[in-house]
Amino acid sequence: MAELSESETIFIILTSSAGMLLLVGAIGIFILFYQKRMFKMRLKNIETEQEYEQNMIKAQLKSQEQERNRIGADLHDSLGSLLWAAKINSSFIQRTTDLQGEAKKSYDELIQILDQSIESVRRISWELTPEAFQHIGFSKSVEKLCQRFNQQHLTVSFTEMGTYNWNNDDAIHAYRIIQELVSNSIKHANATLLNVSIQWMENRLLIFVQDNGIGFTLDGNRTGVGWWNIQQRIKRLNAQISMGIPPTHQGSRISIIIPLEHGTEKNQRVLG
Amino acid sequence: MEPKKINVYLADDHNVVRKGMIRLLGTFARVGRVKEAANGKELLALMAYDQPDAVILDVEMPVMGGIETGKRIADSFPNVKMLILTMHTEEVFINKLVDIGIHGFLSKSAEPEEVERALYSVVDKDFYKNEIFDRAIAMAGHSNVEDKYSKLTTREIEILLLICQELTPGEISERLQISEKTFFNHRSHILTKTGVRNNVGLIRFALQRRLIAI
Amino acid sequence: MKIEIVVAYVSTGSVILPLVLAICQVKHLQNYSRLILLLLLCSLLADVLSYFLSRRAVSTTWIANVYLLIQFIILGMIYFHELKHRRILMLIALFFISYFVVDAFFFSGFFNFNTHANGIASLILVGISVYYLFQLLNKLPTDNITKMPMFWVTFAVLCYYGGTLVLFLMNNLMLGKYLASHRMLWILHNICNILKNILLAIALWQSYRNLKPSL
Repeated sequence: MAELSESETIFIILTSSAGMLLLVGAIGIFILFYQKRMFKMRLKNIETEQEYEQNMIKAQLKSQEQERNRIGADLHDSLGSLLWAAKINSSFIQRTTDLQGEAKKSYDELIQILDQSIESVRRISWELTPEAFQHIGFSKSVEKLCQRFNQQHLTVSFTEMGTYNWNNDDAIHAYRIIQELVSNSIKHANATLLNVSIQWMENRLLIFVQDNGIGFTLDGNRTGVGWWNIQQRIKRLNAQISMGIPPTHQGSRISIIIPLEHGTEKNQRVLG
Repeated sequence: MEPKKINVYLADDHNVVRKGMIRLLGTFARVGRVKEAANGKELLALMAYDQPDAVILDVEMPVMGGIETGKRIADSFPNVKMLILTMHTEEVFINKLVDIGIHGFLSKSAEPEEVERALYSVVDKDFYKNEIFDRAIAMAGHSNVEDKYSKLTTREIEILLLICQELTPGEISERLQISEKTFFNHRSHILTKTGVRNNVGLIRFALQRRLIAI
Repeated sequence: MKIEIVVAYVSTGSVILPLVLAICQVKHLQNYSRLILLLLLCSLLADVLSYFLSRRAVSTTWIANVYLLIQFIILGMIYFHELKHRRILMLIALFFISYFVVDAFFFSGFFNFNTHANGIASLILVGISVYYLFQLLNKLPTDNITKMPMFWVTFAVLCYYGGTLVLFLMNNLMLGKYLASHRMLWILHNICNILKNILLAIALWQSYRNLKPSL
């Protein structure tokens, strides 16, 4: 057999080495591409999952509102009418009968009971469905909320800096958050002073709910449905919530920052 | 002289409310005939036959609700005074009712005695002033309104102001030394010029023009 | 010792590595690894047989032919499971097999080395493995591709048949030095074989590792 010349041998060796390197390189490149694609796909999956979660929450909150509206309206209309009928009849009794002694006492109590029932129905249905939120907007509704919660041992005050006409879906969420926080504070904080203050800034809204009660226990009461609701709404609004102690060192202060879509200067309208 | 008896029709979808109201109305001195209907349609059918002096309307009724009925009555029977009974007392809602031409507003959480006062007031003075009314009018006073009225004469403004002070037609005519017929003439001119349906609208109008203050 | 003989022995011996790994997991083998085992056995068989026959100076080229066909069929079956568009694959395989048979019996003769068939087979298999790699990129079956045995198998196929293809082309170009290049051809061919077996060993090693959690 004829031997190959040296140059050819070298040529062959070189080409085979090149071939090897090519092979290893090909494997390496393939693996690289693969990992890249994998990464991209995972990112997309996470995004889809997050979007899905957001949609779920949106649907949940929406159905919650709808349910409340329905119940509130139902309560208001049917129960309200019946209680009114009761009052009418009692008025008739009073006008046509001369009540004496125990009968009169019983009658008076009856009237009281009726009045309280009517008031309760109004209060509950109002809490479920704030009246005419669309028409009177966020600021006024919060103000009314504070007025309603004003009671014997607790003064609820409302302060507002700047004005803005806010009455869309996000506004309802913010309103619900405040509603929940205020009612939480009333239930648990044993306070005598409660202040809700809202400040309209360039492109956000600052909300402070402050009371002079017993303050927060760091781990208690944060797992109820109420808090879940607040958390979900905060997420929905892309807002931030933080809890702390007011400057007076007594009680608690919750701060919420909600980003708004456009500057408040452009949309000023003074509501009556 | 004893005032004429007031005939009242009432429309409400709850049977117990109707029965109770009939009983109550029976104890009012000035009330005459009372008829009932379960919804707006029935009420209009009754009225086609024979009109009352006043109607008491529930807002939430099936088939035809208070708002729709109110509109029809204001169109077909403008002399009939309308009292609305409602659970909802938001200012915006009340203002809407004022636009339609309702004369008085009663809340279902009020005292039933008020019904008597309200009834007499809408029949005598063409409106009934209460807290609901005041709040609604006050709110309307601050909103932007287009100026679409032609100038009122001095006389008309005078009459407008007296109406706002809750004087009856009799009292106003006496004060101004004119006949009641003249008064009603002026009044209908004012109504046309301002584009409102009744005294309630006039009061709101006057408030918006800052002719009176609440 | 002549280098080509050393290389030839190493090449034959290199089958042992993956073979051992395959036998270790023989109870847990899946479709493709069973087929790989079969392939390795055939490879061993073919080499041993040609050694004995060459000792007795009998022509061994028919072994190469048969071995080619068997390899093609086994690899085809392996990829049959993994790829979509199976129908086209089947068609191509059938086409090749019929071509091969026709060529073997009617044209070049059974006992001659069938260079054309070799070239075409290599081309087809390279095409299949590249297609499979593309499919992997699109489907993204696992997190870490190096843990997937089929990945290594595919690269083994690519390496061996790609190399064979290149060698085949080179062989045709170097007609003048036929005998010498023939020798060189076989050395390089054996080197490709060694590489292939190493990659197959890695594939089987990964397959073994994957079994660990369930063992």
